[in-house]
Amino acid sequence: MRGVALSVEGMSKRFGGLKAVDSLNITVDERQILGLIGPNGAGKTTTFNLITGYYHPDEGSINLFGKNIIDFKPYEICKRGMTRTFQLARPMYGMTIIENVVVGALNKKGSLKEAFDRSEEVLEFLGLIQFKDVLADNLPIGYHKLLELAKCLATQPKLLLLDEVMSGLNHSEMDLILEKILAIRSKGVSIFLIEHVMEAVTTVSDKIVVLNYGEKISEGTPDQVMNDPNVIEAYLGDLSV
Amino acid sequence: MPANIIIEAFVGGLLTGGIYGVIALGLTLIFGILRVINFAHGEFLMIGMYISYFSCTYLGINPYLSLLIVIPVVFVLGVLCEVFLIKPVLNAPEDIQILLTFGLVLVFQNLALLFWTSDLRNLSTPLAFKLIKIWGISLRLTTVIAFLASLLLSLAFYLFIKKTDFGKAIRACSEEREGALFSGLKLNSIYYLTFGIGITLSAIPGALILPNYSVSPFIGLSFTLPCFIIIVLGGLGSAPGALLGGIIVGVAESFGGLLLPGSMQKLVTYILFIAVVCLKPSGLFGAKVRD
Amino acid sequence: MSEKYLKVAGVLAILVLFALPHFANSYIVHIGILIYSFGFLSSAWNIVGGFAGQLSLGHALFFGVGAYTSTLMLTRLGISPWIGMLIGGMISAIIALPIGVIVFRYKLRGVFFAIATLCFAEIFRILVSQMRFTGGSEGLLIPIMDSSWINFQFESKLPYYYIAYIMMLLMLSVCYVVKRTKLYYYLFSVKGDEDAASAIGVNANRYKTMAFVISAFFTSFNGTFFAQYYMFIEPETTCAIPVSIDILMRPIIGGLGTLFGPILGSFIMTPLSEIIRKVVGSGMSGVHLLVYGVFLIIICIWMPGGILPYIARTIKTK
Repeated sequence: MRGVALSVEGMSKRFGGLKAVDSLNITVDERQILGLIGPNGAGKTTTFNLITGYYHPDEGSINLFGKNIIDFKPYEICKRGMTRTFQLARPMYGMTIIENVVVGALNKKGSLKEAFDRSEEVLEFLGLIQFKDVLADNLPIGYHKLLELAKCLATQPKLLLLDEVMSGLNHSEMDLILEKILAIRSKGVSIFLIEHVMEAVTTVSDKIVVLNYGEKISEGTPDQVMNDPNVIEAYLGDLSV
Repeated sequence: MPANIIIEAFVGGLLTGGIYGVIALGLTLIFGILRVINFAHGEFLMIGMYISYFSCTYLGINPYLSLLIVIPVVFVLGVLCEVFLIKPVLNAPEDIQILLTFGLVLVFQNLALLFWTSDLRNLSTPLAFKLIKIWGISLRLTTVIAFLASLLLSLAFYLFIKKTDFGKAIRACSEEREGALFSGLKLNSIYYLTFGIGITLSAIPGALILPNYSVSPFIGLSFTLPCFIIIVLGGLGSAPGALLGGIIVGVAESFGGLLLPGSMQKLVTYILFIAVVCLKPSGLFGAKVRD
Repeated sequence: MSEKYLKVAGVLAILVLFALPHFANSYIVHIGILIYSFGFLSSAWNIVGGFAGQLSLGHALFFGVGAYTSTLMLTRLGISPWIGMLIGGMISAIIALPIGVIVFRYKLRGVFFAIATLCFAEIFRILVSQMRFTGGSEGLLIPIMDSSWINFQFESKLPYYYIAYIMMLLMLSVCYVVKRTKLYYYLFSVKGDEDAASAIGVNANRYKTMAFVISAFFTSFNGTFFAQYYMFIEPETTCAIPVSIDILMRPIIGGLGTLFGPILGSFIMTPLSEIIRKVVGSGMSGVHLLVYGVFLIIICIWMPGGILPYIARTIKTK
């Protein structure tokens, strides 16, 4: 019997006159990979921002592993086990790869040395260990997403939020990330990801939620969702598929 | 305190506020389009004032006529500054922009000090002392003119932005900077022209208030600071916000002047800044949240 | 290999500078004192301005607090300036704490943080200029006492030289140690991208405030030194905006966020502004600020971050 990692109920947010997110209900089970898709402007990143404490919802509830986190600040939410990436993430230039990851590792109590040790483990796990002492400025672009993943993993999250982590990647880079995502899940981490690249999200997700104009319009297995006429219609207006 | 003093202070503050509003309009325009915080905004006003002063003194004209000289000179200066100094840092991190415009402040202030000394310059014209009575309150004629001119200027600006092609181009630019479908060259010209306009908007009030205001190299900051308060109050890129904010700040300073001795008057501005910038709900520059 | 040369050169420099007063004239010793004082101040500022990336324009506040605290404690309570220096540091820290909490809690960033710190410093200056207790705008004289270490007063410049020198080296060590703590990593991540840092668990406000308080604490020490060296303090020379400018110019020119940047900046800018002062005379007081402005603009356009990072970047791309 799987527990629930994240439970969002009736969440709404308005910006000025525009309702960005409307009465959203989303559940991420433990050890589940949940995909979040929808045309541009559907409110996906806003949803992430609301869940992770960057915006405050107008109404609704957000429960992380049973704890109400609606008034929590982003760093508190990370300490509670939920970490997220940003779409336009950059590495910390001027620091080495392992130092970049150490900042994440410091999320857990312990000495600086322990943080370095844990960071090394993460780098090993993600296949970045050869870049350990390379300056982030000199890291090839193809590895930037992996580094982002490493920083997040180092925080030892129980729920990982990935915001369009596939964007800009070529086929083999994408396969690598997908492989790592599955590996992360097999370690017991739940994953909630926003994606535009259909191939990727249908391959890796257990379940998919579809958003349009801030509302949930479909939910189900990748097969179910891909064949749902509502979903197809929503995307016809947006040719990014 | 007798009622008419309070009313005078209020109205005086209103008038000053309208003038502040126009200056702030320039600042918010520059920020809205170029995304640069122009620390040196008040310094351009100071330069405009000096130009006006020297025009009046050596050419024997009145400050209003001097605008014919002030406007083109300041505009060109603004364009040159943008092209050579601001443009290189348009995409740099905010710190660098702050430091650069701060460097501009030091340069302008101290060049002014070198050329024109720290003596306070006052335009002694009989115009400065003329009072008019409106609804029983005595007001300085020049202040009223400055206020009305500011209103006119704001109106002209509003029409310019809403109705002209260039105005529309500016607006498109503010909404979607990188996505603006302009060739690189066109975007550049929008930037330097906008900067020039923004600067000129702040320099014109300088000439307008010259009859009642002594100019020295250091007056810049006394205008820059209220401008920042105003754009926080009124919201970035909001023209009516700039005017409304201007009035609030003008009135607040006016009452401060009533209650505090001369040397402490600046305290009002400083405390106001801290209060406004803390209490104004975030979402201004606050959390630069991605979306 | 070049690192070894640098280390040797560094040790030599330390020794030479230590021995300097014995073969240099009084004026050079004075310049040295200024260089080390500013080196100290800039390093302290660098903790919040460089490590944390928060440009404070109001450090004159803490400098002034240090100067006035030790002086007032001396003149009114007869307490040694050394103790006054420590108390001044604590008062600065106590003042910096609520400022930091408020300012960062309300998410003041970038230019609004900078101006807010300027406002706080100016408020302090105006208050100090108005109160009789602090001598108003006429300032305070430090009473002449017997030359001694307890009195922090000496007839010759030499002890001042060594105190300033040791203080600078101590501050360098403090920065060196800070760079090896968790705090430094937190600050670096916040400086780069505060939102991203929050997402991986960094309590940005707490660490920015910490950096601010530490910086304030040490800045204050040099205020006391200034008071005891010049034997006279007034708002214009201790709490005014040019003081804040002087403090932040050096790290910005030398290298924001680096260990030696502030020191390098001080070695370049301090003699430069002294030369300007001599050449131009006291009649034109603005020239050195003008030069500062020009330097700032040049650095921002061509060498953002300062000289040391620029050199490091150029070497890397060769």
